[in-house]
Amino acid sequence: MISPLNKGASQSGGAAPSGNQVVALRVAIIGAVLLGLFAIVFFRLWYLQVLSGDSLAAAASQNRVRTVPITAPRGEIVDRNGETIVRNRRAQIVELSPGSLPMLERQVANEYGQDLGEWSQTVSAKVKARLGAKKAAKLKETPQWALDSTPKPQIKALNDPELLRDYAEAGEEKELAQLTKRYERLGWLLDLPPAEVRRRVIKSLYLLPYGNIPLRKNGASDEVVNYIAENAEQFPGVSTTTKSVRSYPYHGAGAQIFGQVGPVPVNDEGKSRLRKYRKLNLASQVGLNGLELQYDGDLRGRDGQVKARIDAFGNVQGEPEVIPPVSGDKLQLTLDVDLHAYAQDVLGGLKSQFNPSDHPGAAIAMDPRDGQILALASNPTFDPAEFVRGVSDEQFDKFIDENGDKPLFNRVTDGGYAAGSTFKPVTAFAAVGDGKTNPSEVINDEGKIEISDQFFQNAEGLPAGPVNLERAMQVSSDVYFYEMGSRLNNRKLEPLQKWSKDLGFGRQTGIDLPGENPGTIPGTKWREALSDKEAKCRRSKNPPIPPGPTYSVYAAAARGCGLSDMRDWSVGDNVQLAIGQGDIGATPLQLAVLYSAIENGGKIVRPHLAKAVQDRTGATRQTFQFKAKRQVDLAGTGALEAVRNGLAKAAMEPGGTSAGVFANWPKDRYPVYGKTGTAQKTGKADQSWYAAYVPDAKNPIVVIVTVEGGGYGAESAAPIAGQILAKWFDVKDAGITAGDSSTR
Amino acid sequence: MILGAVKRFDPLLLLATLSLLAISYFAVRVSSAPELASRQLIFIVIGVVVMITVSQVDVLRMRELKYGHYGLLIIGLILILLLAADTKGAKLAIVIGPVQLQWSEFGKLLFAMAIAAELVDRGRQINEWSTTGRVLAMTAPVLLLLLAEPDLGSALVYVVMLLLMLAVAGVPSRHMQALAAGGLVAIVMVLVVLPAGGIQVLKPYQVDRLTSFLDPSGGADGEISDEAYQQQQAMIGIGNGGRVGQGEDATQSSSGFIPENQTDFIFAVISERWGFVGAGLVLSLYALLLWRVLRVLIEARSSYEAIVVSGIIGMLSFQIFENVGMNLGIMPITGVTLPLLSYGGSSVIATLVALGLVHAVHAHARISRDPRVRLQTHT
Repeated sequence: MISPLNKGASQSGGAAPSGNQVVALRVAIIGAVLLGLFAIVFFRLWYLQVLSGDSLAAAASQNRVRTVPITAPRGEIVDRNGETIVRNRRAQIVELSPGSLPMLERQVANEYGQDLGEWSQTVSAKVKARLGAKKAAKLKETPQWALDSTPKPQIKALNDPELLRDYAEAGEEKELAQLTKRYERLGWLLDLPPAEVRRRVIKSLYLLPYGNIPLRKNGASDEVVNYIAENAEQFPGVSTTTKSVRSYPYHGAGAQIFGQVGPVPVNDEGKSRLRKYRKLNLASQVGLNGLELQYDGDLRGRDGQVKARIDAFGNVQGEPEVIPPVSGDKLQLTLDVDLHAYAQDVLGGLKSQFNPSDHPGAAIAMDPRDGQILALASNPTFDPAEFVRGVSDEQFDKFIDENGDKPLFNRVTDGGYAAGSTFKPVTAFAAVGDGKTNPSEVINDEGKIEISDQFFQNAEGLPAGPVNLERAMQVSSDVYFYEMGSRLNNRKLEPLQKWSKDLGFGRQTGIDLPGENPGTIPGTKWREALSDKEAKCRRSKNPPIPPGPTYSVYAAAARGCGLSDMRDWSVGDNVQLAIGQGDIGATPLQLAVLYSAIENGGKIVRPHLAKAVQDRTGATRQTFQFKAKRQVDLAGTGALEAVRNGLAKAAMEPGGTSAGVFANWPKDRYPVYGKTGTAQKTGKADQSWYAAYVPDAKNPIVVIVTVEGGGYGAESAAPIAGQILAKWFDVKDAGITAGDSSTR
Repeated sequence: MILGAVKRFDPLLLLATLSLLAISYFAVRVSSAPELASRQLIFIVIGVVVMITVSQVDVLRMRELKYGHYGLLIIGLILILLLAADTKGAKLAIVIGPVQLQWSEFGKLLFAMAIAAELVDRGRQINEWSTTGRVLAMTAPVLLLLLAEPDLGSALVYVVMLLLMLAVAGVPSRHMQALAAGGLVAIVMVLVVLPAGGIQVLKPYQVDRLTSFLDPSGGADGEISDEAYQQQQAMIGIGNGGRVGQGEDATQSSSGFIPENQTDFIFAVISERWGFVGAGLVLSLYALLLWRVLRVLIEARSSYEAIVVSGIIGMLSFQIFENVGMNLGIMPITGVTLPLLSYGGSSVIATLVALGLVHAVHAHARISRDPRVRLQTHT
C-alpha cells in the first residue's frame, strides 16, 4: 500500500500519473490558501485589538457604565462683611425615570436627535456654501437666513401613523394608550400642556439618555409632591427629589448683576454655546450670565456622580460607585449689602422719596481709591427668584420688551446716556490741559453765546455773569463750557475726544461682569464711519437712490436707513459734547470712574464687584486684585484744584447747584464734592444726574445717580445721592431735600 | 486499550484538539451562559471517547457503505424537516429527551464519505462530465433539504466540502472552473437578479445577514438586524480585549451585550477576555490543527481516505474562517459554529468524530508505510 499522492500508482488505480501531479498541486494550493486566510484573520485581529482597540474599548465602556451626575451645590455669594446675598435652598423637583417609558419612545428621541444632527449639518453646509469654509468657521452664531431656510425637525407626535404602526407591530397598543394618559395626567398635575411634558421628556432622553428626566426643574409645591406620593400608582416612574436652587434674601436689590443659573446652554446641535462649558456634563448647573457666569469656575464646585455597571437589559450589577459632589466656593463681593439694598430702595419703587413716579434710573457707589463697588442699583428691578421658580414666556417677553422698562437691563453698566453737566470736568481738564484756557480766565456768561452762526444758551437762558473755571463748575455755566467746546474743536487732533477716552469714556471700564457697554464718544471719525454705514445701506436699497441733483436731499434722507443724517462733524457737535449732550453715550459706571479720578488725583481705577474667594471653612482662597488701568496727570493740567473747588462750592456754598440739597449736611465732617446734570432728550422729560464724592480718610465714596425723566439734577438725582451718602456715613439728621436749582 | 489506541494518534493534532476543547470549556464558563459549561464538559468527554473509538475504525472499509451513508444523510434531513421543533423560525434539531440532535452536523461526515466513495468508484471516468454530474446530482437534494430547514450556513459548508473533495479526487480543471463560474452565476442570481425580478429565493433576513457586514451601520433603511447588532457588539468586544484582554472586566461578553455568545460568538468572548494573546493562541492552535490534517491528507494510503480527509478539511477550514471572520466583521453572518469551541453537543461531537476519522487514516497510513508491517502482509 502506497500513498496515492506521493507515489504514482493509487489503490483505486484510476488516475493517470499526470492527474496525480495535478492533485498534488491542488493540495499545495489548498495549503497556500489556508495560510493566506490565516494571515488575513491574524491581521484583522491585530487591527481590531491593537490598532483600533481604544475606540472600540470606549464604545464598550459606554455600553456598560451608566453615570448619573449629582449636582454640586453652588457656592454662596456674600457681601464685604460676610452677609449672605445669594444663598441656596432646597427645592422639590419632579423627575421621571427613563426606564419607565416604552422602548419606542426612546426610539423617537433617538430619531429626533439624529434629525437634529442632520439638520445642523445641512445648516452648516449651507453657511459654508455661501460664505466659504474660512469665514463660516469664524462665525459666532449661525446666521438667521440659514436657520430659516431649513425646516427644523419635529418630534414625532404620539398619533403619528408611523408610530402607531410601530406600536401595533410591537403589540404595544396598550402601552401607547397608557403613555398618552400618563402625559395627560402629568400635564394636569404640573400645569403644563401634555405636549410640553412630552417635549421635555424627548429632549432629555436624547441629550442624557440615562439621566432622570426633570419635569418641573425649579421647585414643585408641597401640594404636588404630596399628591404624587399619595397617588404613586397613577404616576409610574415619577419620583420627587430635592435639589439646591438659588434664593435671594434681598430680592430685587441690584438683581441684574447676579445672573441666572441653569443647565449648560446648548445650541441646536446639542453642543455647549460657551467654550468654557464644553467639557461639562450637559446636566451640570452653570452660571448663564452676570456674576454667576463670570465667577462660575469658583462658584460651581465639582459635580459628583453615581457610577453603576449595567448589563444589556439595563439592570444594575453590583454596588454603584458614588463620587460625592464638592460644593462650590464662596464668592465675597465688594458690596456693602446694607448700602446696596438701601440704594435700590431710594432709587425707585414704593419706598423712594425723590423718585415717586418710579422713573427708570441707576445708582452706583464706589470706593474711589481702588474701584470697589459698594452699591449698585438699577431701576426697575425684578426678583431673581422668579427665574428660579420659572418664568412663563409671556412674563419673559414683558421683561425684555423693547418698549417696556426692561428690568433685566443693568443701567449702571449698560445704559449709554447723555451725561449732561456731570461730564463738564472732562471738558475742563481738556481745555486747561490743552492750553485753551487757564483756570483764572474769566468769561462773561450772558445766558447765551453765538458760535458759527448758531446760538447756544443756558437752561432757561439765565445769565451767570462773569465766571472763571471754578465758578463755572459751581453754578454750572453752560456758556463757559460752550466756549471751551468751541475752542477745543479740532477735526484732526480732537483734544476733547482724546481726553474723554483717557478718562475712561467710549471704552469699557473693565468691570468684572460680562457684556459691558463701552458707550460712545462722538468725533469726526466716528461720524464719518456712521455716514459710511448709512451710505452703504442707502446704496444697497432697492431701488437705488439715483446720484445727482435730480433727486432731492430730503427725499433721500426720508428713504435713508436712519443711522446718520450724513451731516459732517461740526463745531456745534463739539459744543454739545462739551456739556455732555448730543451723541455722547456714557454709562453711570464710567462717570464713577471719572469722579474717582478727580478724588484720587488721576488714577483710572478698574471698577469691580469681586473681593475674594473663600472655601467652605471660610478660609480665603484667593483675593482679587484689580490694578488701576492707568494714571492721568490731572494735577499737571492745573485744573484739578479749580474743578475740585468748583464741585465743593456747587454742593456746599450758596449759589451752588446742589447747595440746597445739602443745606443741613454736616459739611465739616464730610465735605461733599458734587455736580448736578440735566440731560435733554427731544420729546422726553429731562434726565436727572448727580455725581458726587466725599474724600473721607477712612471711607471715601463716589456716588453717581441718574433718573430718566427725573427733571433737573437737583430735583431727584442729587437728593437720592444725598440719601446714599447719609446712609454710608450714618448721618442721622441729614435733612436731604430736593433742590430747586434749575441749572443743568 | 485506550493507551494503545492513543499511541497511534498524531500527537500534535491531538494536542491542538485537546487544547481547544479546554479553552472551549473555560470560554463557555465566562460567556453569557456560564451555566452551560458543565454540559459542554459532558459533551467534550463524550466526544473524546467517541473520537478514540472512531480512530480504531478502518476508514477504507467505509467505502463499501456508500448507499448506507447517503441514505442515512437524506433520511435524517427529511426527518428533521418533519419532526424538528421550530426554534427561531428554523428547524434544525430533533429533540430526543434531553438531547438535541442537529443532524446537519453529523450529516457532513456522511456526506464526505458518500461523495468520496462515489468519486473513487468512478475513478476511471474521473475526467468525464458524467462523474462530476453524478456527484452534483447527489449533492443537490442535500442542499435543497438544508435550505428548506432553512440552514444556509450548513449548506455553504457542504458546498465547500464538495469543492475540496472534487479537487483532491482529481476532477479536471475545466470542470472545476465551470463549477466556479456556475457558483458565481448562482450567487448573483440569488442575491441580485431574481430579487430584482420579484422572486425571493432567500428570505429577506437571510439576504440581510449575508450583506450586512458590507455596511455595518445598518444600510439604507437604517434598520439593523439582530444579527448585525450582534456582529457589531462582537467587534466592540474584540476591540475592547486589546492586547492582553479585559479579564474579569470583559463586560461586553459577560453582561449580555452579545446575546447567545456561547455558540456563534464564542470567539468574541475569548478575544475580549484574553485579548490578542488569547485569540492569537486560538488561531495558532487552529493553524496547527489544519496543518496536521493536511499532512494526513497527503500521507493517506488510499484515494478514498484522502478524499474523505479533504472533505473534513473543507468542513473545518470553512467553519473556522467563516465563524472567526464573522466575529471580526469581515465575513457575512451565517449560523456556522466554530469547531471544537462553540457550545453544543452535536457540533463538538461531530467535529471529534471527524478528527477520529483523521486519526484513523493517519494510523493506517503509518502501518502501511512501516516496513515491518509490509513484510508481514506480503509474506
